[in-house]
Amino acid sequence: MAKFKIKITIPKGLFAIWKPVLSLLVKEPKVIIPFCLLAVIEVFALWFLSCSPHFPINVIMAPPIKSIWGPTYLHYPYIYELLPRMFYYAKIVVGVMVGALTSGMAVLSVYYFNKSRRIDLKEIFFAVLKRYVSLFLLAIILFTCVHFVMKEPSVLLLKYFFAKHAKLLFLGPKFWFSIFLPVLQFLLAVILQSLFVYSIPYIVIKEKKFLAALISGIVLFFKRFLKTFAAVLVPMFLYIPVTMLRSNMGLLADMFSPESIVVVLFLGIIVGTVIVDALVTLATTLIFIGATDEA
Amino acid sequence: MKRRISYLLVFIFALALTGCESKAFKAEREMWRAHKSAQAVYKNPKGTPPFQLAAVQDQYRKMIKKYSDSLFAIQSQFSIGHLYLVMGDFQKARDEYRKLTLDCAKKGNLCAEAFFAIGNSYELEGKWDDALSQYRMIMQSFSFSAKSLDLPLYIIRHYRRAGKEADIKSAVDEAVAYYTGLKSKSETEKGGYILQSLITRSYLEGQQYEDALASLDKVMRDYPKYSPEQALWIKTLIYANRLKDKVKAKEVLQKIVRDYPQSKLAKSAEALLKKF
Repeated sequence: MAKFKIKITIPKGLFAIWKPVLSLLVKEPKVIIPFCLLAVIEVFALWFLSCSPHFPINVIMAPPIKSIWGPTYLHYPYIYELLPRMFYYAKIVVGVMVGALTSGMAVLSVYYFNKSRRIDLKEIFFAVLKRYVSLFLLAIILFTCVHFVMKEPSVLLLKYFFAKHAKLLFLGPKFWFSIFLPVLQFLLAVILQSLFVYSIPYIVIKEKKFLAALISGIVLFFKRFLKTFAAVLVPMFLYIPVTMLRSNMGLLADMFSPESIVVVLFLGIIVGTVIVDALVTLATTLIFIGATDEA
Repeated sequence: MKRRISYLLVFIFALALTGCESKAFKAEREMWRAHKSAQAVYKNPKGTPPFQLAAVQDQYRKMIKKYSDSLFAIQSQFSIGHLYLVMGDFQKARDEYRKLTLDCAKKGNLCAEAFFAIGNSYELEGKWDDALSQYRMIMQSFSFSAKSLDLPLYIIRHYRRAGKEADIKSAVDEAVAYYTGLKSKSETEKGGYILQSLITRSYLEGQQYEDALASLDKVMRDYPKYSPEQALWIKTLIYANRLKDKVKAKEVLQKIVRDYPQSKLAKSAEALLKKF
């Protein structure tokens, strides 16, 4: 049975999007469930990886860890040293396999809500599942871009300074690595996410084919550049404290205990997946609905 | 619904089971914590109050009790000794190390390490003669252990640091005699090769370069299958860096290039020849 709700109006203005996003969250908290599902899977992955030295998980995890990083990493505290790297790869796999689906579900939930349609997550899941291949391909492109674009500047800088150059543009390596690189990586992450963010609604709402959705998404991003950039950038600021904690994980492990690395990674899941990803997806979906309705 | 709940319960039970750590992992964690507490003592032994030292040592004693006959117990016993050592309580340190020297027939290398720690405690106390007698005892009683093979070189290095030239000479002679004696007892060709290499190292530590060169010639002659080009490379380094004889160094490099063109060192030799 259809449930009738107040339609959310999408105001104009660079930061005005947050009011309808928050009102959407208050009126229909169900829209956040897909992100919670993804977070649960990520927590499971984190727990699974942190149990790598223990039976029966070691039956699966011990051989690859031994052959790639060495048997030392199956012991305390070295397993926690390896955990962020393993979890980074696990997050990519989960993001591509499941994240594509949950993002699609969230987008479609917002669309249904806006059209005053009943939000049945089971129905939405099967509707999105039909578009899984396109979403999967899109996620692969996004993660590949993020993986390489994020790594390339640091590789180039390392090569430059290893070639016995003391300074670049009158500034030493300390500035480039501790200030320039994190800021650049942050901005690149925002731009990359913005670039592909509209392709998901094009796939699940407009039911466009993969390439058409990809191109239309990029075109819409350029058309609504500032609004989109702000919608992605503002929630990303919430992730900065987690990034700071993550870059000081060694220090935290030494101060408290190596297990604190697990806590930091868990916080990263809560802030990154449940809060930042949810806010970005909801805001950009509302911008998308506004933009395509106008058209 | 009931079926779903039972599946969920089975799943949670499986999760709980996998959360069970092995005994070894638990011990590793406890060991890490004990070492972390000990770090504070090592960093500031003079400023460590007795109760803090006792607390750290208690952690190790619990490890010994809980994981007796394991590597963790042995490490803990050593650590208790080390803590007394940094506090300057040499006799207590030795008492703790001695606990590791029981039942040496079974333990072998471990006993050698414990006796070495006792020797070290004498050395730190400024009683070199007592330390030396410990080291000599290890060399005699645990003759083929890793520790005993390293000790003659350790003794030479001690005299070098102290600047006692006459003692260096006699320590080198003693080391060569020791390794030669072991060589006669060694049953394998590899053992012989290792011992002859240690003779070379003894001469190098004693800065007796002509003797070292002769020993390297012996290595190449008696053990030709153990990469003789490496021995030639060491000869080059001795001629070039120690004896400052570039002509001889060049000759040896040419020999590497000529006789061992397939070896990795041939390329390095060619590069070095260009520099010469």
